[in-house]
Amino acid sequence: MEDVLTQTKFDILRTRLTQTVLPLTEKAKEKAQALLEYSDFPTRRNEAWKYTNVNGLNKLLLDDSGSKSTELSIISKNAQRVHVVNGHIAKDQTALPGVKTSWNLLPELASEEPFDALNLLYCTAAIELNFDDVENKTIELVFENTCNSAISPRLFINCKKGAKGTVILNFQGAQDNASFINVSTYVEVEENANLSIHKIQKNGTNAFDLQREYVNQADNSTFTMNTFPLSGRMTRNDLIINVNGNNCETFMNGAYTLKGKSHCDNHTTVDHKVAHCYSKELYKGVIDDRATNVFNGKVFVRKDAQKINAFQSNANILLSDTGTVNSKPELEIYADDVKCSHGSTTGQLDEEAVFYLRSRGLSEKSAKELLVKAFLGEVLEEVEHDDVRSYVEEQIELHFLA
Amino acid sequence: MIEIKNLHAKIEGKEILKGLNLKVNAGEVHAIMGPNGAGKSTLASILAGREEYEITEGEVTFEGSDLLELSTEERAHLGLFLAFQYPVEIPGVSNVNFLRTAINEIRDAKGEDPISAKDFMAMVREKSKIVELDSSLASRSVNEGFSGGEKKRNEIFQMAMLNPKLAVLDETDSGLDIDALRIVAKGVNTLKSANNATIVITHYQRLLDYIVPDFVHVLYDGRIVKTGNKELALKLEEKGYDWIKEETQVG
Repeated sequence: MEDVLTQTKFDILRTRLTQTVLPLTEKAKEKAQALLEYSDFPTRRNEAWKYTNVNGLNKLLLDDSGSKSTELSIISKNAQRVHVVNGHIAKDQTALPGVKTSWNLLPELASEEPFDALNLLYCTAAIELNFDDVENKTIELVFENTCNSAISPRLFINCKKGAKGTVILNFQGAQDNASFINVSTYVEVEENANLSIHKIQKNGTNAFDLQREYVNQADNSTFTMNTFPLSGRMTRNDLIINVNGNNCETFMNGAYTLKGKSHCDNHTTVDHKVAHCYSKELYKGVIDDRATNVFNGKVFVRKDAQKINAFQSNANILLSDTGTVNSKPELEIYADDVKCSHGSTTGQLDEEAVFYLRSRGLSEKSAKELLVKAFLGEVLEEVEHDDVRSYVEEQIELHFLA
Repeated sequence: MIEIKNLHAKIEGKEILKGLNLKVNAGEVHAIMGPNGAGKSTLASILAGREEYEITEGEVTFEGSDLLELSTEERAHLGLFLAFQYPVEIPGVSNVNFLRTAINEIRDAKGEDPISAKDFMAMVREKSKIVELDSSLASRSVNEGFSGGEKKRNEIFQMAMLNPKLAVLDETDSGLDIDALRIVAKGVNTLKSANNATIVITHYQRLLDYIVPDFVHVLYDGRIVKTGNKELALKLEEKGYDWIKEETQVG
């Protein structure tokens, strides 16, 4: 094959990143490198990236400049915590049971996604969480971003046979932080296990945050993913769940509050490969100013996956005339005995309701705030973890104060 | 309390109110009756501050302030209350939560401290009894899944909680069965005092058997064309509005 002489956008980005210090096998390295060499940043022609443009990544400095302290919020006081500061695991932490922060060799790339390859080659922290009993402990990973850095955590979360576990992924950026956060999370939910992940993305207003979760569910397992993109210049989440086992339950919830020029894109895929499973997805958000939002939810029901109940819903409220929503719910069903639904709505706040509340003495602002809280409340009701729910509720209030 | 002088208003270029005059003093109950399309609901909407209407002439003074210059919420802060003809359902917003916010914003506008949770709950219990509203309805989402009667009782419950100086009841009797009508009317009568006033807008005389007005006005073609006592309402019930129309045209 001839050498490709033109420099791709990935090449440009890579010149500013530092190769990983974590051990990789030659094979793993080669595979990731090969993928990156033959890829470029996605364009509009790529259906999965039609409305999300990542070219701005190459304008980020990523030189650890602009250090600014964060108003660090810990979400769960009772959780075991691991601190990751500007992508690197903080040094002075005591080892926690079930948490491995370095291990011998990173496994090779499991996806075809260039940003996953980038994450592997330039990994800044590898963290493995193992849940192996029914006690349901909570582990909170706090990612504190104070400098304009390239941050590539690679996470492995294993919920063992019959075990229960809760993970909080808490991303907190300094106010106008401009980091490139690139996270890959691999999740295994074994037989009869029950795992919940709550992801908070409270990034600096100039940060780019690209994340992927690859989830496998075995027989009789329950998996819940709650996603809360609260701030950041650009947020892209790819949640890919393979339901490989029978009798599984899968819950996906998302609530987002966008303003300014922020862009948020949630792509989810649930692949029902076998029978007798239930999945339910609810994403809701409010879009203000010139913010843009993308939702794409795919549900596959494969040929032999009979008796599947799959529900998906996305609802958006535009608070300004200049906000944009692109929502695409997709169902692909190859089985013939299933119950599936999907729906998407985008609209404005009910003006009649605003008037009604104002006629009782509420200011226009508090009337709208009350209606937005009620709108997002439907998602928050699904969140079983009290600390997470109250944190997000508080953030929604702050969103309106600012 | 309130004085409306020569009010002209239009919506989408169509003139609805054509020089309406009305004066209401504290302690009085006024009924405004009239045929469909006379402008009854327009009047209620304008008083509450709906922005779709264009005021082309006239003035409204409420408690010494130029009402038309005030926002909807400022009018509520001054003590104006509109009971809606079609109360809005607001899923996810609890009745009590929203009323507490409303009371506190009204208190804040008056420079008063917020109401304590304890006092507020005591007030909810006391006032919900006035309209025989189940306390579970008080904590449910605003009007969501309420029957027609429950919605109207909820309007009067809110009125009781906010204790307005002037309440405008817009077709509060529409869609009510006789029992609900009695409960709603009893609520309004209980809340009546020498310091507040009520404007009852209605199509039928029936409600006025229960809420006895001091004055009955007939609104026709954007103007008040006749004013009398409760006997006028009975006459309207008996003879309809045609004689008013004829009288007006002759006049």
